[in-house]
Amino acid sequence: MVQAAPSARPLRILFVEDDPVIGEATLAHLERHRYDAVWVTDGLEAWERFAEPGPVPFDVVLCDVMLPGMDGVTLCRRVREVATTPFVLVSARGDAIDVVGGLEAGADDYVVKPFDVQVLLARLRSVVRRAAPVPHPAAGGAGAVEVFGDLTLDRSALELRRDGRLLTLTPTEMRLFMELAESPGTVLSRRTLLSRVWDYDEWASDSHLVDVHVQRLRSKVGSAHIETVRGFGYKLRP
Amino acid sequence: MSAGLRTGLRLRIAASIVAIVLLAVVGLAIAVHLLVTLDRVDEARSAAQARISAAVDIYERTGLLSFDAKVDDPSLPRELRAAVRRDGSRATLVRGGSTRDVWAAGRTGDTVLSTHTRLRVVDASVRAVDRALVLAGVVTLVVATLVGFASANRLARRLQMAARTAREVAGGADPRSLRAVVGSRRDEVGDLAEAVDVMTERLNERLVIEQRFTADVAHDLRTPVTGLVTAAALLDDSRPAELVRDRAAVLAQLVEDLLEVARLDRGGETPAEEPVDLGECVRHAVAVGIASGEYGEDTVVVRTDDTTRVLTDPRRVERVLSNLVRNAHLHGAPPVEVTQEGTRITVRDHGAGFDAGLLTRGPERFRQARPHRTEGNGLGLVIAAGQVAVLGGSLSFANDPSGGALVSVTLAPGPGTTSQPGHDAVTEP
Repeated sequence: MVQAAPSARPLRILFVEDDPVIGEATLAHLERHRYDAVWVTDGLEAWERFAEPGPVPFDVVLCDVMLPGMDGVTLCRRVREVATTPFVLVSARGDAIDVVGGLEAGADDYVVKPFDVQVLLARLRSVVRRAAPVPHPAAGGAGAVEVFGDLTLDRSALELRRDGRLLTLTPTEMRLFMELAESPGTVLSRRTLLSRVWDYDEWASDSHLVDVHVQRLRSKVGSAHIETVRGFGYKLRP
Repeated sequence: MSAGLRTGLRLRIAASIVAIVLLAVVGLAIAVHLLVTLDRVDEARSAAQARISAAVDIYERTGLLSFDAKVDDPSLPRELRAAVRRDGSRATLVRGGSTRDVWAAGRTGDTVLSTHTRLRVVDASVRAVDRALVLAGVVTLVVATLVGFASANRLARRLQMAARTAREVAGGADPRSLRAVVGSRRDEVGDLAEAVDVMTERLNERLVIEQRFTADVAHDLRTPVTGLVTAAALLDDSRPAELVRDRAAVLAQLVEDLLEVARLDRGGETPAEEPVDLGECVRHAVAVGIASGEYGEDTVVVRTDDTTRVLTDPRRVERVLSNLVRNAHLHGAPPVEVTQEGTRITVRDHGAGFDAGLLTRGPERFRQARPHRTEGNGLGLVIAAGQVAVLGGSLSFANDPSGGALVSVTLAPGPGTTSQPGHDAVTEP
């Protein structure tokens, strides 16, 4: 099927799920798709595994919201304090408040139980791809930067600086900014952003993801840079 | 039934009061009239008696006839003549109808003296009394009718208001106290209102418990169902595995629908409104269903006007439409026509149409809207109706005159609604 890892090394995934059946079945799926998965059933244990000394031991985290020890949203916030590792939440509830809470804590994406395994795998592929650097033809090779007021974007290095200071963006926020920077001054609809940044198919219509990430991005780059066009979407002020 | 209450109770009470008063007034008037006439006759009789006594005295003493007395009047009634057979006795006799003959007779020796006068029983004075009685009777009757109508009216109005409130609550309005509606008076109507209030409260409590139970069950089912769906996806591609996957997916959908119904029941859902191109929203909702393989591209015909922008929650609109289009495919027959014009969207199929129960009572959970089909869980229309209510729109069910079920959704035209007619376009996804 689709290759989970473009490189020879399988992707290391931290999988946190307390239900034994969902855990075992999902683990089997992950292993079938050549993920190097570590499955833990407790939020605190997950945090211990993640925060082990040395470089971050995982390429992506897949985490349930309701967990013993520490809930998924808190775990996500803790992870965000130390790393930009892609983080996908599995929410047992579809209620908007749950989902928004998770996204505000810094999750890159979420899936709602009961999920379709193919959808889950697609979401994982997408967040992992975002973390990989994309060679950009318009950038004209390494070293070329784009300037938007006090912001400077270096696509090849995946770096965004504000007044020369490097901003810590998650891969998703970076991709979101680059999409907006692709056509400054042009309004991009939520649906367009969903399909370009999150690889959602064109039929998805979840605007929470886009709205919450734009808010988070705004708080990092300065709110004046990104304009909301009510009912349409967002644009970057040139 | 309501019309019966509106006129029936009021009329019956008022008519009873009028009938009783009429009976009393007429009875009283007849009694008074009779007493007056009897009194007149008695008076005439005593006068005749006095006259004949005097006439006999004078005749005995002087041999002269006085007071129009006659001697041995041949027309004197026989029974009177017989009654005065004894010497010195006097007697009177009154006969006749409206004009009475008043006879008086007395005997002295062999001679019978008698007087005869005629008395018109009803004379001017009696007629005056009668007129006074009729006048008093009519006035009493009118006053009693008015008072009767007024009190019956007040009673009927309180009952009517209570009935209207009860119907509104039954129709889905917020529960209101009937006690507050009928006023604070302590009477039978107040008692009834209080009893109904208590009943409503108890039913409401039970409803809340049932709703919470449904939500809890659905919520608790979600984890095992997710496990089932995930595990079933690990199975090979054999036919049995396919069946298990298919049923697991149906189960998962049912749990999701139940949770959505529970959320809608609990209330407090607020639409995330934004300006929406309604035509695009409709096309998108149908396209999602086609993309996910729920129905074929060639079974849905979409017509939109492409000029209407409305302030609404697009995700809820799409939930409504996907449920309606899915329902039309499950229970009706293609082609399914989805038409958007202004803020009105209709979904029509070419099947057997809705049954009479749905048309009168609206959608009910786990009750098939149409006979003879078993696929689908029957929650689709309930969800559609609930979401339309959250959007502040209206949903109506009908059967098209030329066959097929017809559902109309009308969104509230909010402040953001714009429409430029004349640019109609027909789009097929």
